[in-house]
Parts: sequence; C-alpha cells; structure tokens
Amino acid sequence: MSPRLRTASIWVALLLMAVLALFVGMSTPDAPQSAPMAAQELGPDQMAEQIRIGEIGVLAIDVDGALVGWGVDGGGPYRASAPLTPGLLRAMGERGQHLAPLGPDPGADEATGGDPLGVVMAALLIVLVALVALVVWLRARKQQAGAGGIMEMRKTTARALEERSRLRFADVGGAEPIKDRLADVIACLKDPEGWAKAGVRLPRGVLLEGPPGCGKTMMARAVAGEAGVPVFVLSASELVEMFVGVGASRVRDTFEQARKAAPAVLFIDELDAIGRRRGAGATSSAHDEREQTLNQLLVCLDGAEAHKGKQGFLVVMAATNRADILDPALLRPGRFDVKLRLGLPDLAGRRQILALHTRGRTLGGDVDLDAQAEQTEGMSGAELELMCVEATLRAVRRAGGPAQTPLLGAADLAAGRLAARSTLTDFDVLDAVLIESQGQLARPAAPLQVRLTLADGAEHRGRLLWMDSAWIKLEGAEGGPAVLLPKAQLRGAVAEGRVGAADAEATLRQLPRAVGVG
Amino acid sequence: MFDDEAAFIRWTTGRFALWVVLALSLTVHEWAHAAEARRLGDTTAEGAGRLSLNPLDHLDPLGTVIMPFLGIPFGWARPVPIEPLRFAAGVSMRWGLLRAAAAGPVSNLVLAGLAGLVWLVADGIGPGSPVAQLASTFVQVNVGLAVFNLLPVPPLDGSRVVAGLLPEPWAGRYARLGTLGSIIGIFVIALLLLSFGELLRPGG
Repeated sequence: MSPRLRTASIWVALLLMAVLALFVGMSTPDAPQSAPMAAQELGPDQMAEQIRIGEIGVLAIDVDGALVGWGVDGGGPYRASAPLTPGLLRAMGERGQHLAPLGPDPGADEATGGDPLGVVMAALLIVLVALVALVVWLRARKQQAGAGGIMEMRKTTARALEERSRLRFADVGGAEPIKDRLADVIACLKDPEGWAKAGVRLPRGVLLEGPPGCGKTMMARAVAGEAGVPVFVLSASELVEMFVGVGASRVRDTFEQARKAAPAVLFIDELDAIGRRRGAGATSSAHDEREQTLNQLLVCLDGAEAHKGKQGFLVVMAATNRADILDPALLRPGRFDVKLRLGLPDLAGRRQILALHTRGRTLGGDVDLDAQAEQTEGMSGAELELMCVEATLRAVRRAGGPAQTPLLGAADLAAGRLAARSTLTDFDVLDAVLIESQGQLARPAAPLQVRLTLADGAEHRGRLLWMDSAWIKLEGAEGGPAVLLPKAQLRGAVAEGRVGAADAEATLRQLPRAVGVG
Repeated sequence: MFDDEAAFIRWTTGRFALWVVLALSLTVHEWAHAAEARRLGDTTAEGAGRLSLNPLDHLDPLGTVIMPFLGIPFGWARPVPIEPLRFAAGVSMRWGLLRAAAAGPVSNLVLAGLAGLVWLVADGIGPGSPVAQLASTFVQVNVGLAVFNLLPVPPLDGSRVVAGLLPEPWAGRYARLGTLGSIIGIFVIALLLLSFGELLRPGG
C-alpha cells in the first residue's frame, strides 16, 4: 500500500469510527426517569369501569393514597381522582388484580439492573489493556525505525539476494575447469540426502581465489542458480565491528538464517577481512574481535554444528584475492576443502565473455570476436564487461540516441578497450610494474607470428603473446599448448605470418633489445 | 461515576470521537509546520518523514494517545524538526521561522473553518446528527488548539511568532529565556487552563 493510500485509509477509518461512536452514543436510549410522570386523571367510577373491562392493569398506590394503573396497551399512567372507593376495590377483585409491590414504577428495575461499578471496572480494564498494547506497539515501532539497539546490531547483515538466483553457468564466461569442479557441488545441493546415502562426504566449503573482477561472486550465484537454491551474500567486512562479540554473533545468526533456508549457498565475500592468519602482527583489541569472529566462523563451518539435528545442507562459498594470508585453519579439509583459482580468463574464456556482453547487440561486419579476444590478453572479466559497455555507449552516441539500433563496430570495441584500460591510474600502472618486478611486460601491438630458435637448436613457432625480461610466451601453433621459453636461450627470432611487414619489422627490431641477446 | 449505563456509553463514545478529532487535528498541525518549512526550503522535517498526513508519523505516545484516552481533553504531538539555517536564500531565518511556526495554528484555524461549513450543512440536513456533532467537535478542538498554541509561551508556536515579530535585541533576549521561560510558561498554561478551561474542553 502506498503511503498516500495508507494515510487516506487511516483518516477515513478514524472518521467513520468516530461518527459510528457518536451514532451509538446518540441512539442509546435514556434511562427511564424516576420522577413520576404526569398521570391522566380519571374519575373513580370511570377507572373502576376500565379495570373491570381489563383496559387497566398493574396497580399501585401513590404517595397521596390514590390508585394508579397502567393501560394494558402501554398507555397511562392513569390515576383515580379520589382515594380508594368500594367500586374500585370490587373491580380489582373481579379481575383478580393485586397492588404491585411498592416501587417508583414497574420499568425501573430494568434500568438500574446490573452493577454499575462492574461496568465501569470492566471498561477501565479494557482501556488499560488497550493502552498497554498500544505503548508496547509504539515501542516496537520506534525501535524498528531507530538505529536499533545492541540487540539489532547482533543480527545478521546477510540478505537473501534472491530466493532463486537466476544466474546460470552460461552467464559466466570462461573458467570451464572450475565449472566442471563445481558441478559436483551442484549435484550435492540438488539432492543432499541421495549423495549422503551413497557415502559421499558432502562438500562444505568452497574457496574461490583469484584477482579482482574474475567472477568469483558471479560464480557463487551461478552455483545457487544452477542448483535452484537460495543464496545468501555476506561481506566479511560486515563482520568486523567495534564491539567484541558482535561479529561472532552475526556469524552465528547468518548461519542460522541460511540453514533455515537449506539447502542453500552462503557466500562470504572478501574472506580475508576476517580470515587473516591469527596471532600475526601486534596484539590489540581489534585483533580480539577479529579472532573471535574467525573462531566462530571455524566452529560454524565445522561438521559438528552443521549436522546437528535436522539442519539442512549448506554450502559455504568464500571469495578472496589474498588466499596466501588466510589462516591455515580455514583451509584445512572439512572447512574450505575445495579450493579453486579463478584467474584471468584465457583466450576461449575471453571470447565467451565478449560474446556474453555483446549478446543482443548488433555487431558490425568488421568485428571478429576471436580477434578481439586475442587483443585483450590480461584483461579480467569485469574489464571486458566495461569494454563492451563503453563500446556500446560509443555506438549509441554515434547512432544518435538510444532509440536507434546501434551498430557495434571494431572501432567502438577498440575505443572501449582503451577506456576500460585507462581506468588504471598511473599509480596502478606503477604498482603493476613493481609487481612484475623483473621488468616491463612487452606485448605486440598486433598479432605477430614468430619463429624462435633456441640455443639447443629447437625451433618454436607460434603467436607471440608477451615477454618480460626473462620469459617469452608463445601460443602453440594449431591449437597446441602455449609454451614459455626462457629468453636466455634465445638465439634467433624471425617474424612470419599474416601481419603487415612493417609492423613485424618494428616489433622484431625491439625484440633483441628487450631480450638482451646480441 | 455515571448515573447509568447509557451515560457511560455516551461518555465513552464522545471521548473516542474527541480523541479522533484531536489526533487528526494535531496531525494536520504538525504537517502544516513541515509543509511550510519545506516551502521555505528546509527539508529537515521532510527527511524525518514528517511531511505526512498520517497520524502514525506524528503521534506522541503520551501526548496523543494516553492523555486523551484518560479523558483529558488536551494533547500534543511530536514536534517537527525545523532547521532555520536551511531555509532558501531570500528567506530570513527570523521570518521563515515565524512563518513555519505560525503555519500550525493557522492550519487549525483553516480546519476549524472547513469543519464549521460541514457543521452548517450537516446540521441543516439533520440537526444533532453524528456528522454534525463530529464537525462541531472539530471546530471546538481546532479553535482551542490554535488559541492555545498561539500563547506566547516558549515551548508553544506563539512564542516563535512573537520572537519573529519582536525587534532584534528583544527577540534575542526572549529566545534566551529558555528553561526559565518554559517554567514560567507551564505556570501560565496551568493558569489559563483553569480560567479558559471551557475553551479547551470541547464536547466535555
């Protein structure tokens, strides 16, 4: 319900209730008055006649000693204008009428009936209960709206991303060996009981390791999607809090929540935020919290808690790009026993990723995805996606607005590649150079077929992928495996194949200098 | 306490209707503060979710719920936060605060006027009908709220209006009355409640 509609309905409901209440109040009849009503005076004889023919019944004596009666048809009261006469008494005797017990009037008993004090007490009780309920409700509302107390804080921050992840393996480009490996996990998720009965120890933890942007998160969601189970996504950094014990209780809470939905996938992103090797570095209170959280995570990962009672099957997937600094206890079998490395995509993977991200776009005739894949060596999946996004943006701009069907040309993709690459700052480049440490990685500007002769006389032919100060990587000819050749043994290099002669010459001229052989 | 059941029922239903009127009128009052502040460029109240006609967004557990339910024909809602520093350029803080503060009582007067029209019509169709009774309760409550809130006593809207109208040095002194002013104010309110009780006791 929209807030506006809710407001309107509250107003209407309150006003209606008020009108109804006023209506009820208005239509409640007044209590009969105890003051005597003006009686209709009748002569004694006339009154006697009326009593005799049965028109007047229920008789009483009023304070003046006069006979008073009510008409059987509800009329009256009628009052005899003289004290009791023999005629009146005879008439009463004939009808078998007796004087009613003394009282102000016959209807008064009903009106004063019931215990007024009881009614008030009951009403007060109802109001009191309503008030207490209201205060409790308001409190709850306030807490919900506010920042939440310490109890709120301990709750998990993991959110069920989707009840059913729609991602499939087909949506994740490349990484075929990893998909094969994860197929077992998916089979277990689909039918945990069957596999357990067959004597298979179900996998509990999968550690995905690799550089950023290589699809670790996507892979976890795709596993859940393929298996058709819910996936819970939690960032490990959310587990590190100021207060000792908060992270640990969040871990417990997350596992509880995920187990309720089991079979399910629990994905912990950036595991290194809490999974750092314990005992390292200075001991401080910050470490206490981290270590307590990690200990709780280890306990939760352990089978002891996992299969207590009828709790369901949960696969914990974690991602990190620093597997080397993880606590060894996390990596031992029984916890994250499946360790998978999601590296930069290879040629086929890049081809697949580019195809995925250009799906649904019209590609120009000059676009050869294979060639594009070749030219994007070293780019991660995320960079490839950005490249396609930038290229599409350019194509749309060129086409003159989103209404037109953009034609994605090779020039667009080249510009996209540059844009995706230029998101690296100078600092990143310097960092990369330092990491490569031995020297600059050289890559030919265009595909270059070479024939290399080594010191032992062996010849290697293939496309030059890259070289650094120590190694040259060639892609194997005719689909063979790639080879890594040590530069120190290089004795000769000849360009051949389909590239322009000028390009080849330029590259080759650089080659000996980079190689450092005469 | 009551002569009979009927009187009790009448008292209860009347109290309920009065509470409804009070809650809705207070809501309009607070909404008017928020809306005027928003018009002047200050979105603090809007950000706090108070630019709303939903009574649940404004009611104060004690002032809007318990007090009127206990039969005290008087109440208050949570104050709307206003940040004079955030008024649009061209609106002085003094003038803006005055307008935002006055918007509450003015809205109650407008509501009283509207309810008065409804009352005239409803009473013409069916004298003493529930709708007419409700409308007359609206008139009384809203006039009462407007008058009461315009008292120039620090916690009330009237004090801000007065502060906006006073010449600069006096306004500053008036604003600095602060806590002392509130204490004096409470005495004044109590006094006024005793003497003008009838004004604030609609339907009582």
